[in-house]
Amino acid sequence: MAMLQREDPLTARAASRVPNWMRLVNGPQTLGRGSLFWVGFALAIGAAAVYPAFADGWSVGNTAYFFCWVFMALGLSLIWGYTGALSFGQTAFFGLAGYTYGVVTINFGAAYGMTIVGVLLGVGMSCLGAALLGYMLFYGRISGVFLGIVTLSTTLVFATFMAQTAGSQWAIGDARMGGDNGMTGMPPLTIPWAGGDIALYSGVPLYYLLLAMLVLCYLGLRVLVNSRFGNVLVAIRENPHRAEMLGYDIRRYQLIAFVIGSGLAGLSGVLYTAWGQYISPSNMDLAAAALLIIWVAVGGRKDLTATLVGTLVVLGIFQNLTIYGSYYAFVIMGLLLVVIVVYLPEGLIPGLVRLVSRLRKRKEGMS
Amino acid sequence: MTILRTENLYKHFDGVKVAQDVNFSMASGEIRCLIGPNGAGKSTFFKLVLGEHQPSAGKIYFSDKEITKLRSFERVKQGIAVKFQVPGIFAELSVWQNMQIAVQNHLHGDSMTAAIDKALAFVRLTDKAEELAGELSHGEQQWLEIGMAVSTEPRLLLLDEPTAGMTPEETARTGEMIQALNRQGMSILAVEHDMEFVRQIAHKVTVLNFGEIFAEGTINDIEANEEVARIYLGTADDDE
Repeated sequence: MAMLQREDPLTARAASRVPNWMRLVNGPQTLGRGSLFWVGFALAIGAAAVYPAFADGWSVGNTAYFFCWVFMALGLSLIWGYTGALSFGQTAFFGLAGYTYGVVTINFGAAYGMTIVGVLLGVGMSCLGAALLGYMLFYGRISGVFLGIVTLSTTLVFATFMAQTAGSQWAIGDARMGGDNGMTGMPPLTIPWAGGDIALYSGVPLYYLLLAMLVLCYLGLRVLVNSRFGNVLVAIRENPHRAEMLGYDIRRYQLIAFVIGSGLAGLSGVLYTAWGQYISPSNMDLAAAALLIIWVAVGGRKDLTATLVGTLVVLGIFQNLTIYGSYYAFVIMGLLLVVIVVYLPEGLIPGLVRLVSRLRKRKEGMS
Repeated sequence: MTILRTENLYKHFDGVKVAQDVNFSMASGEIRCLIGPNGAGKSTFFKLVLGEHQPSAGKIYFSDKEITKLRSFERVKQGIAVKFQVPGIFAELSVWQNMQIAVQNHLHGDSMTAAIDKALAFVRLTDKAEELAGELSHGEQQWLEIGMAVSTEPRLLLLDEPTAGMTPEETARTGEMIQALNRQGMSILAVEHDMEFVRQIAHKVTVLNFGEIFAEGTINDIEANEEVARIYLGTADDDE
């Protein structure tokens, strides 16, 4: 990442002098700042937009399923990659939001926009939970490996608790928690419409909704990380002591980043639950928590684009491995993480960009 | 006017006294050097002033306002800045970004850019603005950190061994920077072992020993003090 920041032709200083509207989404905290990148971005969006016209229904639904997870990965990139706090808590907030969506929509149905209320309450519960946990963590000055331990413990405790809720006494209204079998029976996302509600089952409309949300979320996060706030997050990652001695209340910044990142995990949770009409403790167990780390680490945790692309690619690979290789998929994912951590600690995409930059420089030097 | 004052300041760690009844006072516009043998309590005193340690007893005043209970970042906002002994920079970011993070807390837009350019020129790093801070030489990293600290517009600058690891040329240049800052009205409190450097910059010197103020005065007073020489300067009756 360090090399990337230096080798990119649009330097930090120049970035501060580009027009304001460009500066919003471009900046030293994100890869891809030139016109070539944005042309590629537009082409990618265009390809994604026409994809349903050429793909079968299952593939479209499956891609929508992939999109569901990316919000959580982007949230982890913000917390871990940009702020430097490795959190295993994302899947707990994913689950919390998913169950909240289930409880709301099973009890109140899908009419009158109640699924949207369920989405908002689910994300809100994730943010609230993250605010409480994050306050204890960051204002308690817990950092480094201890932060990972506490967040992992929180996730596992929540997953274990939910796994023992099989009995009929574990219900909120009509919504039964379901224990290991999970909660089922919630409606899909349903948009209130004058001519009749539109239920977004796993199909083309849901795909487009998720695609639009993903683009907005990605651009919004680019604005955030390239803002003054984002500068402080990166400063905290690099040297929290110095950041504090420049007058920043680093606990506040860490907490805000944690809440936003966890809120995005919650968004993934409600979208996933609405997509599959199902949520279970296995969505937040140790394997789920570890897989998320792999998605983000493989692409490149310190960059949003690298995280987004890496997550989609690794999800695709993992799904194919689980279809054809069963539990070997987990072994291969573990190996992939080890290889990345040892040889490309910044992730595959920043590593590739660095390699291309070096080759280009060498070529320029030779000519 | 007094810029920094401590009143009966104590700090104990598990019964070990590292600051004992420290009554320190420093005038606004002064360059004060803090010297003393290893373990004398210099770093602890700095950390108490910065809010990284809470005193076991006593009070700390900055410009006559009590800051004993303020957190570190709040003290920085009051007008205290620090340069650490080991350069405290953002190594993976460019020099310009380092400065930007220092300045953006109180300036915006063109005035921020102007302040960064001015600070970089002051620490003579304008040509290296786009380089990674971690790839600067040790001396340049020290200057970058001074630039970052100064650009928070402090009234009191704390320097923890500002010339540690520097070449004689870099040390001389650092001395010039400190004197230039002082001429602009900034008060400076420095922990320093290099007595040549202390002679170059200090208006007054405070000697700490076993957590207590052992002696105080001009550099000539301190160098003429045989007790100080015995415990620290090593020129008379050296007991090492």
